[in-house]
Amino acid sequence: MESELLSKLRTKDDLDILRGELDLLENALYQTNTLYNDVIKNDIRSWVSEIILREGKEDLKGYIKKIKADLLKLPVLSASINFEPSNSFIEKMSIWLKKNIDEKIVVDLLMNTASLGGIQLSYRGKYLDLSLRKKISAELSNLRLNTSNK
Amino acid sequence: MGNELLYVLIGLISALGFLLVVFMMLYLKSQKSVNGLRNDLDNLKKDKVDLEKGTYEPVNTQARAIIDTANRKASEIIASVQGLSEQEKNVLTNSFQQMLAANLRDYQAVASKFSQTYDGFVANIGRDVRTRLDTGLNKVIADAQAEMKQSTLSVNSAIQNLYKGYEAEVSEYKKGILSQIDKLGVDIIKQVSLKVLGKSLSKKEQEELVIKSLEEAKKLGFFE
Repeated sequence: MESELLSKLRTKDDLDILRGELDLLENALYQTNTLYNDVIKNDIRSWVSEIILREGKEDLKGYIKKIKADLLKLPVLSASINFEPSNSFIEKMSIWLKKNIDEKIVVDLLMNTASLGGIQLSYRGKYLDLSLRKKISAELSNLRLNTSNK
Repeated sequence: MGNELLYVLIGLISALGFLLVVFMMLYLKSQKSVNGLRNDLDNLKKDKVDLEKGTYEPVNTQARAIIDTANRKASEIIASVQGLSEQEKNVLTNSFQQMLAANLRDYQAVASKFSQTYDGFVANIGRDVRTRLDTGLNKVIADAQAEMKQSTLSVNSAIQNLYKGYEAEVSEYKKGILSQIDKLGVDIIKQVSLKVLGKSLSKKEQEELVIKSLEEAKKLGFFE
């Protein structure tokens, strides 16, 4: 059964934060009950702790271990854009990716103002440059070729 | 007294006879010279006809070949010039050919006529085009005249080589200019395009462009 936590992840940052929270919680499980209670209340986001307590109530250690292993398998799309994305845009982009590519995909958003627009993608060892800079350069190259041929 | 007068008369008659003989001898000698000169004159006339018919003919043939070559090159140059109508080009070509054809006859009169026609037609075309036309036609004339003096059959190939050199020079010049314009144009267009486009897109347009790019990537099979 797939954890609800994974479906809520949108970005690589979300994934890293969740992994950190799971590490804290896992370490606390091997310490005292007081520490565990302290971590679950103060160091874990509330919606995350709610899902963890609900889904992992029978075997919390095993649940956390499985979630951490699943996190490593999530497909990550690296994407360079030239502006600081708003929260709503990240949401919009994530919905598009989960609907069209993979329901578990997370995006690693990077900023590259030199791209001028569009997006530069890296996914499963492949790279694709759909930036505005690349398109303009291609158009100019065609223009230069046409001029030389004349 | 009678005998003395007789002696004088005999002396005078003898002197007259001697003078008559001398005159006769001089007449015969001059007549011989006149006949010799007449023969010389006849020979000279014959030589003149022979020279006109035979000796000068090869030279005239060469001259015609040179003029034909010059006419052809002038026609090519005039035909390639921009800014003149086809009718004007035809008149200009004919006028130029008449000038060259009359080169050995009434050159000045025909050259003057050509100059008037030429000035009239090229007055409306650009200075640079006219300069090229001037240069091209002057070169044709100069080449033709130079080859006339040499009167050799190798003139055609010499003009061809010169013309090819001229064409190559123009071609290199054009290529260099185009290269410069191309280089300059691309740099400027590139910089301006990047700056303008990079700054002109709104945040919403940037976001839509990202989503469209993702759709394009999917169509390209990037995620498969």
